Amino acid sequence: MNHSRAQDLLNAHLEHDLDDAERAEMEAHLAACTTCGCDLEDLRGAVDLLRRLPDPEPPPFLATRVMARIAAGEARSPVWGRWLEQLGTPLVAAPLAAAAAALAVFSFAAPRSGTEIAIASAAPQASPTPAIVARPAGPVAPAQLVVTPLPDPGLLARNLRGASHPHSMALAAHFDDPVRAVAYQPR
Amino acid sequence: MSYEVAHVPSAAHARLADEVTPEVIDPDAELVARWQAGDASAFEVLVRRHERRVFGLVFRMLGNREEAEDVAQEAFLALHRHGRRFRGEARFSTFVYRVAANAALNRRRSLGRRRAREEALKHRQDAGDDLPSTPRDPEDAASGGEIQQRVQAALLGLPRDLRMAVVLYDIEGQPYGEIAQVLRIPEGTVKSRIHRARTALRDRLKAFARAEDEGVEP
Repeated sequence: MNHSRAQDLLNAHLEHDLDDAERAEMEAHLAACTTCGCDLEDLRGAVDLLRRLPDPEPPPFLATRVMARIAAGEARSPVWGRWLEQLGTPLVAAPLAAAAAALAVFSFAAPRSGTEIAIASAAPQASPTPAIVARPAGPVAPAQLVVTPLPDPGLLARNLRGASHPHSMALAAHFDDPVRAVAYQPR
Repeated sequence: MSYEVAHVPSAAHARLADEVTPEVIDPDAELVARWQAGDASAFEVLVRRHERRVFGLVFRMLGNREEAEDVAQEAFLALHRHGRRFRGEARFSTFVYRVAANAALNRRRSLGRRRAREEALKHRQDAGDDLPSTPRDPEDAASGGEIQQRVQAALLGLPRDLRMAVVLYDIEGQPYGEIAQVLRIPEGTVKSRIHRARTALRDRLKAFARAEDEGVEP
């Protein structure tokens, strides 16, 4: 065993944490290396000092003070903390998980910009009611709505509200917002 | 029904078996069950049973009795707050150590700022400003041992992750497996931290350790 390896294993040797072969090698090295022998003794001495530190006596009224603070409500979690703790209970977790799933679907499917809505063609404007066709979501694109003809945003919103597509209400809200409606860019 | 408050001996002198499995019968299990069922008096017994080890751990981590008392109280409040989540995956004492260790480690951050202010105050006193001196720590005064103060100072000079490992092992006497559970790190990391901490302490304390061996003043 070389010196560097022996230095690495001094603590393990002190703790009798070496296997038989390593211990034999270590003892052979210690017999020949005075530096490692001194370091081992110094290590033993430091550990001894550490272990001889007295147990500090706890304050006499520690438990009493703790119980008084608990009685005063200081151990209570803040409101949001209690709410988070309840997340673990099935009564809360199940509806919450359902709501989270619904939100996730909506986030993926609802249009974030007009480019998520495909306008099939500029059909005659005379057509009073746009036809709304929902296509299933593809592997990349979100749910796609094909609207014919290109309506004004208000008309589109009104008709979306009457459509049976699951995202129609959300889309209607999208077009109700004049800022979003202006940002809407059909392709 | 009444419960005796079991004295937990200084673990350095009564090291438990290194391999502790969750199947080991937990002496706190019945009290914990009663507390979790709503019996407040059971929690008080648990506090009394574990106050010595919690206070010992945080005192050795912080080196100041007043701070240690504050942190020990905070640790027990946190235990009360979160203890209902305890499901017996490990021994309750391990859970207590974990909460206390977190409280001590978190306290170090604010304590660092306080220490900086105290250092600044000391500088001004040394420079001759007429300022009240900081009272001496009662624990230090009570122990009165220069070597103990040196050892504590050497401990405080260690990085806190190394200090926590060596305090749990050499002072609290916890086996590697328990420490790994308390700190949520692999056992190999525990051993490595203890090795590094002890090596650093050896370098700082060797003069005192040798003098102790020879029975002379360092």
